[in-house]
Amino acid sequence: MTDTRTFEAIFKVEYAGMVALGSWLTGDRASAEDLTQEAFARAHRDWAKVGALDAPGAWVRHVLVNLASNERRRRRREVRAVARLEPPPPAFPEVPPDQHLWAAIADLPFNQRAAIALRYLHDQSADQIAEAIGCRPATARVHLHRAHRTLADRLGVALADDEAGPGDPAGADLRGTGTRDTNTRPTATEERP
Amino acid sequence: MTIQEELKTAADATRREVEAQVDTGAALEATRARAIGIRRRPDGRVLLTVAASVVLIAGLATFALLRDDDVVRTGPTATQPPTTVTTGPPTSSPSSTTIQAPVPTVAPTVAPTAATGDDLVTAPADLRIDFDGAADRRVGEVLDPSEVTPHVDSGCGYWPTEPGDVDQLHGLVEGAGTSSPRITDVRIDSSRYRTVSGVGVGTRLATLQRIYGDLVVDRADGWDSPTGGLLASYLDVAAIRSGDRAITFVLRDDVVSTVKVGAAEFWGDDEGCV
Repeated sequence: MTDTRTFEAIFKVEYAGMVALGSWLTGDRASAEDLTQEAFARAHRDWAKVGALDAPGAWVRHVLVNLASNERRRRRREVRAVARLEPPPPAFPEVPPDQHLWAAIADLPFNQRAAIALRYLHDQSADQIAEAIGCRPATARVHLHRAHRTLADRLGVALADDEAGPGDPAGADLRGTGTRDTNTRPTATEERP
Repeated sequence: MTIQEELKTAADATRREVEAQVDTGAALEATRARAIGIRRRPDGRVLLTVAASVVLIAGLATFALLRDDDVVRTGPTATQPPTTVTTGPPTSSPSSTTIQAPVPTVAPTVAPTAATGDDLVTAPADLRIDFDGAADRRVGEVLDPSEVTPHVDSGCGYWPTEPGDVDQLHGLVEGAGTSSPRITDVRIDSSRYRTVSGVGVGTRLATLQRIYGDLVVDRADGWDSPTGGLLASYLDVAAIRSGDRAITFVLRDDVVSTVKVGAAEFWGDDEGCV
């Protein structure tokens, strides 16, 4: 194993980028650092396996996204309880470059937010986004498209025609690429009234 | 400026800001220390086994001590007024054996599984779960806005507005904050509600697999690959689908704990309002 494949080397190259990703996923810098360190700690624990992967950083990114999602789930019940009493505080309390943009991102469903963060912070293709958040590439493209559309509508700005990112097929047709698995046969019809 | 350009600008700003602020060296040391903590952390099952053993031993010891007094105390507290059952011939002798039975404080919920040993239970038609909803709550149904708690201003919301008991149906809506919020899913936590097959809360996974040939089961491991269309799962779930609808069974110890009816697009252990 060369020096560039050591845990320390990967950590130094990837850490800041992972924290940036975590900050978009959680809206909180401290949580982002905590989750990033947790993801790397798990990589360290299993480094014999993770270090042998083609892209250890992708493994860490995948774990980070899931940790952020878990963290969000953990908070969800609290948010529900608070929402019954009063509107929750903004999800992005830190001072971002554009409050309106951040507020809009904060309101996106988690997978859409993750797709946007992975695309713009880590230049990930739809295939890579799909790998990171655990969905099919078509679903990742749908997440991206919906996120773009929602943000553009909310901020009143234009939506560029080119949805394709690095590695995406040019002119990918997003219509009809929902998350449905058309290969699953609908045999459980007995519950249909 | 397009939204894509705005996002790129924001991402560049975030990267610069983070790179300027993080202390990678200190973070590396903290991460290594944390990794050591992970290695040393005992398996949760081992801890559970040890804890259960301690409780069992303590319980047996207590039982043995109390038995010496010919009195077996059960129930929440020793000071609670007991229901006393006297065994043996009626006598006023203080040395008679007395069993102090616990006083139930909560009425038992409907638990057909425990009662009959069978996890398939026929429910009346007005408590039926199907691909369109459960009982009188239908996916797509328009609710009165007063029944809905909007979540931030995302359009998503929860119904009903107040937490209910376990028998109360609940779920998510779209269009929260508008005059016509629509139910997007119906969630069932009570064993009273059943599918036409008799499946519901309390049904075992093995039974689900026997009934539904196309059942998809996704085990929680935090970052597994999607199974059969499930986006991701952080709980053990099983699901069946019909067209654009799905019935998801959330499992605890391979027994259904919650049933959810909604769009197949959002089946599985979803995000709720996010």
